[in-house]
Amino acid sequence: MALDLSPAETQLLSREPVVGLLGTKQWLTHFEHNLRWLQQKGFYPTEFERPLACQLELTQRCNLRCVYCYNRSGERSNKELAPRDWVQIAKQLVDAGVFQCVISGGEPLLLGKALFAIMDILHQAGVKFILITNGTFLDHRCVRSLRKYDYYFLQVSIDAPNQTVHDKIRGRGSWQGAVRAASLTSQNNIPLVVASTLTRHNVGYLPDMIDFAYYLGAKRIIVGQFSPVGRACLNYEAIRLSKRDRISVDRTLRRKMLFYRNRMEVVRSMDAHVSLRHNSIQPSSVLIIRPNGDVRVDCVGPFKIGNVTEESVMQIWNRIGRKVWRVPEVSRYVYRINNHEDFLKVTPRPYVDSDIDLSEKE
Amino acid sequence: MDLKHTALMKLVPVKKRVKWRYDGSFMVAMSEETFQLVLLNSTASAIYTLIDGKRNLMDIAKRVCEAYRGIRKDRIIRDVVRNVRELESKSLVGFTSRAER
Repeated sequence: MALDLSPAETQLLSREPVVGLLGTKQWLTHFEHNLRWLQQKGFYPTEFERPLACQLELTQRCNLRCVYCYNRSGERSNKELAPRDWVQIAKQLVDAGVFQCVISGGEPLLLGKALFAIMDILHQAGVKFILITNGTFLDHRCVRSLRKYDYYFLQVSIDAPNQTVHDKIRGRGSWQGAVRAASLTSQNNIPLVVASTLTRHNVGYLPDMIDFAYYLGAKRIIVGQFSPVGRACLNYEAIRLSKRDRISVDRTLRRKMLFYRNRMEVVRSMDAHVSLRHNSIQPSSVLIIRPNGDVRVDCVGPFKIGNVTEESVMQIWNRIGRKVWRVPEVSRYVYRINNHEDFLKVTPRPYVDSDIDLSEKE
Repeated sequence: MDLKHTALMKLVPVKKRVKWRYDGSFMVAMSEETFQLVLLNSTASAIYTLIDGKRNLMDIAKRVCEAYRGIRKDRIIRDVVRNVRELESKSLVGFTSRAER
């Protein structure tokens, strides 16, 4: 029996809930029920012996200060790993046999040539990439260097089809760079995904934004609400969507999904609370390595499970990574998050308060 | 339908370019065409490893019959065909009518 596993950004066995057909809660229950049945029958593992995918947040540095940035990129951070450390980590990931790697930051292209040295090691082992960039530094020369790798997609974040709105959210002068980067990416036959994060400022431009992504040559546009963690948690009142906004988004997406069928995928990203619950149901398969070497298993969950400067990737995985969702502190946190706003109420608030440190857990 | 004597059983499955590894009793495989990750349980991975570009579907079914004694042959044949078809749909194998030398 063969089962599909989806790319790393949505993790395993992932299927987007069909908007409007099934409520999120029912969908998650249905998903968990199916997965447990498969596990009981021996068709699906309860644990992975080695990670399948990883996300490398290569730097905290960023030239932009997006109002909703989930990990507060661009703010001062403690010590960051040097490029040579990342090269060592890449080698460990190759030894671990990962299939997929998400390269993100901060802004990963700020690493310059060091980025290619890290990607080269993974590429030679057959690892496929998702590269997430704001596009500012993606010029002709850079895109030529990036062309040799295998991608699920290269993601450029564009929040509005016009400069004023985009720049208000992400920073002055950022729109032009992002649009140029998106065009260069699709012109060079790298699969382009445009990510558009919805806030109060740009929600009214969504239909035009989807058309604009198609015009830029995107294979897919991912649209979703910001995750209420990090800088979005601090700016929450200024950017949050009203209920009316959310209904209008669902309607627009349904209409555009049909309109662009077979031409461009229009995808709604999971809300952060759904994604957290969804990940926690499945056996852990992904490691996220932060700029200072801290290791997590989820972008929004406030759990640090180790640091790669103290242990190897596989030591962290074997000690706790593979079974982290069953740790009582973790499951207690997950089950207290039932909707978007709960991230603001439950402590610790991810990327605002200190993480739950599971470094010593066996 | 009895598949035993059909032309289908003479088809030779061929592995495509795939990155794979074992994880416990499961095999995780990624097609180099689609980059999709696929998880194979022990039976599916046993069938996958029997694909060598020389054996046709009937040969593979015979080998599986030897490993799973006590299960009806026609059922095994059906399962093998279904499984290899599934592997084909995931771009892990292709078909040829002639064995590779």
